[in-house]
Amino acid sequence: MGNLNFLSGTCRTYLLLTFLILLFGCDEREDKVSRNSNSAKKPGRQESISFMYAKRINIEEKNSGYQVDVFSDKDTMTYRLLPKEQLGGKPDGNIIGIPVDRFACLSSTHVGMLSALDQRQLIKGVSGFDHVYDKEVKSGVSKGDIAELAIHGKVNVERVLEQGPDILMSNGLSSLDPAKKRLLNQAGIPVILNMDWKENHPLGKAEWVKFIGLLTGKFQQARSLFQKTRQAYNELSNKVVSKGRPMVICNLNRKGSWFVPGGNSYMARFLEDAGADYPWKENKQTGGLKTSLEDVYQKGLNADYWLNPGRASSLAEIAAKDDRLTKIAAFQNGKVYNNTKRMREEGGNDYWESGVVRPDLHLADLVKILHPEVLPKHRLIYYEKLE
Amino acid sequence: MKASRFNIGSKGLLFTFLLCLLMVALFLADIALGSVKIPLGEVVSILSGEEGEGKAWETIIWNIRFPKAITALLAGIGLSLGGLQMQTLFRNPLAGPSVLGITAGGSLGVALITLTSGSALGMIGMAGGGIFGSWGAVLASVIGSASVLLIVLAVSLKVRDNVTLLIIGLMVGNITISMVSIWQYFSHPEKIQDYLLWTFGNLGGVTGVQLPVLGGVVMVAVLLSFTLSGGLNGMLLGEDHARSLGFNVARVRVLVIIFTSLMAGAVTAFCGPIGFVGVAVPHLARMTYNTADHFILIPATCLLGGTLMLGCDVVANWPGSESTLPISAVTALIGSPVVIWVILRRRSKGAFS
Repeated sequence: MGNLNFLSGTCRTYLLLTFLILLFGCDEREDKVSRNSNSAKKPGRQESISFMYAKRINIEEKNSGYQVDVFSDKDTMTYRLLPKEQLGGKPDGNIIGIPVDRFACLSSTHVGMLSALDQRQLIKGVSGFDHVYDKEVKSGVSKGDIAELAIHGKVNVERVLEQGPDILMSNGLSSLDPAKKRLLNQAGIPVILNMDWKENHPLGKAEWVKFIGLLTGKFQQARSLFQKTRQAYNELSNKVVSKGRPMVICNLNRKGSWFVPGGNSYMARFLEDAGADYPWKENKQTGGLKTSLEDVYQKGLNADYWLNPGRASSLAEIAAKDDRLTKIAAFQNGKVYNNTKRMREEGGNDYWESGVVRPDLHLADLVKILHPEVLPKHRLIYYEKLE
Repeated sequence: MKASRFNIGSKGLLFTFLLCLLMVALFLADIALGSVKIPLGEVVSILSGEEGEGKAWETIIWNIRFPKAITALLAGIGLSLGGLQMQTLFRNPLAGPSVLGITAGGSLGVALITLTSGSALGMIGMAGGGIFGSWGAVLASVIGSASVLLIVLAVSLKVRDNVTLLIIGLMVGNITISMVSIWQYFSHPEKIQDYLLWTFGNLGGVTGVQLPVLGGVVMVAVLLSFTLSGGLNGMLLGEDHARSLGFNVARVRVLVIIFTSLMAGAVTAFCGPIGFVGVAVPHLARMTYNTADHFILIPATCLLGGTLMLGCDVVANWPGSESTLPISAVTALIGSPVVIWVILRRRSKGAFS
């Protein structure tokens, strides 16, 4: 009997410990945007560069330059932009001389925006040859004028220092820890955080081109580019308001999980504006939502259209990956489209470059797929139908 | 030796009967649970062939949950029986089906195609993955397991001592683990995540033609293992003693290795690495049936193994919608206390003491 009591006590402790550890380890809640983003909207400041859709950036004129606030989930990064002549000595980590002559950038959207402003020649560094779509930039890398700054996805500080850009623009995901940032700052290379990827409205993402324009001295071009884009986007979106809404599902399952766009994400916004019915539109998440094959069966077995099934380039590939996917109505009717039409073999995809600056074109593709009669003459740019 | 072969007594019979009931109950529970809530009544009616409310539920139950429950059974049986044979062969209570490096070899194969794409080695792997779809990983795992196994078998022919064989298996396993670490170090985060997901184990990924293949391999190996019962009993006496009684020790050893590899290799190839069940269940069988006789232990281990794996899968699905626990973690959480309990209450009849 004594044995049994001992075991029960140990059992209980073990179970308690296990559940405690599971409890604290399983928190998957999305980080909330910091309170700073709201405090930035107080009235009374001088607002010369306003953002209508982008929520994670704020720019105001200050003295002879600009103050730029970028809001990540954890805190606010503040940069001072000053005309180059006024810099005097080495710039510190957060002071940037404009216009920038040598631009190093780590993300496809940065390349896309610089290309849209016709400023490819400023690019002196990218993350890797394989990740770029733009032909000129790729040839720049091949020739050696543009350096590859990341190895296996991690930024290599030595390469950045060797290339000597005026700034390094990062999206916060390239493992640039504070130590590396300090090294770069000490060498006179400010590291700028770009949060366009976390904007949950397609126009919000595109609006960051204004920041790129400011940095490169092409602000007027950037502003008028965005005006045109916004106008085209909204006009198109209004055209489909009265149409019926086909059901659309996105992405692909991977080892038991299926990450779909959250109801509050930019993709869900695209679908809404393109006149689609999205099964998860009530969901509040701004990023990916973790569901399962079962959930997608439950909500989307009868989906009319299926977009972006991972890296599949044919229906046969989808069937080979998991034959249960063939039961989805969109698959059986051959209405599966992937955003791989403008994609290089090594992996660079224009969907993430020009596609981000021109959400009106992306929207046109979606409308063409879902409501072809609205845009009879449009030919798909980023999406292709899988056969 | 032929005296009390299948005699497990009336208590044993009752226990076995209850265990079968439990297995059926857990099988039902495994099908009833999942991220989509389907009422139990609907589950039963769909299983008995009637049309469910709405096509989605029928499709979910027959195409997702039923294959998963069968896979759980097969995995539980295969891994546990493999563990039993390894424990007897090496007369080591901590041995499991992965002890000869089969799981490590499988990991090596899958890591090869997942982590190294882009290099010359990886190109071979990528081709396999793209054309063959989900079979790519399965084949990689099988080839990896088989390669490691061939090395171990080759050594086993030269080595008379089982302990040496065990150590060699472990060391070869370590080499594969370190190779995988190096590949991981040089890989993109995305690829590391892909590989990591595989290592969590997944009972729900065996689809279409794969299920009959897994079922066929495991069941054939299980049936053939039954014929080894006498030989395994002999091994318990110690190799020299068994040899003096007329058992062909070398033959038993090779067959045990082959059958275990088939079962553990197949399960690992289709489901990823799943640990602890193979180590824990044979002990449970020995303790509950109070015997070391393999004629009883083999069926008992199969029954207990299938039931336990179903139980683990039910636990893994318990959190409900949108989050299931990885099966490997659940089996470790449940299997480890069992192993500890075993060590604290070493009363396993006749074995290893």
